[in-house]
Amino acid sequence: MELDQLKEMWDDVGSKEKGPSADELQALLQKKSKSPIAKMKRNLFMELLFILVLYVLTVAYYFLNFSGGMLSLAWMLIVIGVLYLLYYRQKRRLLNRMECVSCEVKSNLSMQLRVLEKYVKFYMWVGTLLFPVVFIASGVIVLLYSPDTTADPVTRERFFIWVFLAVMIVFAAVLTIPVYFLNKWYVRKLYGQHIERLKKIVDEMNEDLVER
Amino acid sequence: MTKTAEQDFLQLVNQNQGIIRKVCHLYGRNDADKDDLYQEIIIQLWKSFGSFRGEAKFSTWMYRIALNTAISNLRKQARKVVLSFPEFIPLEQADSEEEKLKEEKLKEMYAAISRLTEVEKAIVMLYLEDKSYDEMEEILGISSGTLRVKMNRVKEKLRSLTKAQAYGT
Repeated sequence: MELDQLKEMWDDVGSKEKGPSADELQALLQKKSKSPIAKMKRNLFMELLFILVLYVLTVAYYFLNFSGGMLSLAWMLIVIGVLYLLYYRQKRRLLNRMECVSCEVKSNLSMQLRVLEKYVKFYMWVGTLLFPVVFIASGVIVLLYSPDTTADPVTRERFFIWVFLAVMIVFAAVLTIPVYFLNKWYVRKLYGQHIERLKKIVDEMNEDLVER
Repeated sequence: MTKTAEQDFLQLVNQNQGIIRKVCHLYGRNDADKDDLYQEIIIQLWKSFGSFRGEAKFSTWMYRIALNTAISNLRKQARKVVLSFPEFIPLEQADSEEEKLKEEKLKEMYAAISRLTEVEKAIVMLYLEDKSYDEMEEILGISSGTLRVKMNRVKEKLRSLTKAQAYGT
């Protein structure tokens, strides 16, 4: 059997199947896309909602129950929340740039691969770097404004503060290593297979062959 | 989008349903998969319909979206995937020995196609659709020269795959 013999019958493929009615087709237009990118957009939106609810509740709790220096924690959360919004916007932008289904297949897939790799890198590094920043900032605020501390922060021994800071930095550095690997593993688990598959397809499409 | 746009869209899709069905047959692994893919292609077509400016033929635009959706939406492949065989020959006509043999050979060819890569399947589909290499280039973005070489390779690969199947290897 040759491919050309199949060509003769190709027009009949699926022609005996009963297609969806006009109403069924119309109903399909209202459904949500299940494409990987649409799912990523939905997950990102859910993440945004979760973070917003969590942050608003936590910040409100601090403002209602504490005063003075401890409010710095609430302000720190607000700053992190704003940074998160910038992070969300950048991720959303990358996702929007990730597909052009009406473009040539090769350019669409190449773009998808390029942007997805950028997205994953961004996701991994921001996730990793955020950890030591938050860790050290929280430590410093607790050290300076903890209500249990009776000593005035100005009169606190400088030596103690430097030792505390050094310990915090060392801890943050040591803990950032497993966080980096954990992030890397998680990102690979989420997108690794899809990236590998896209790479393979794009490589195959980029193969430049010449007729002999 | 307006009601008129929706009606225009549904009419165009109805006229070109064959393209979507064939893509689903080539890329869907089972009936459920084909239904999901069909649905996804319709959704993607509808989402992009507003930006269709008519620079390319509607069918070219549709092939691009259908193939882009099928290729980039594929989940991890099961180890051995054999596409379900569409009915080419009406059952009442498949009685004669000759027709049965023909159908058997077609099944072999179809099973061989299912073992091709995603890109090769797209090339085969466009070849079966009788598209010129220039049209294929417009849809896939691969140069027509490379497509010719790839097509020859695919034919060779299919020949050896069908032979291997016939000998049970």
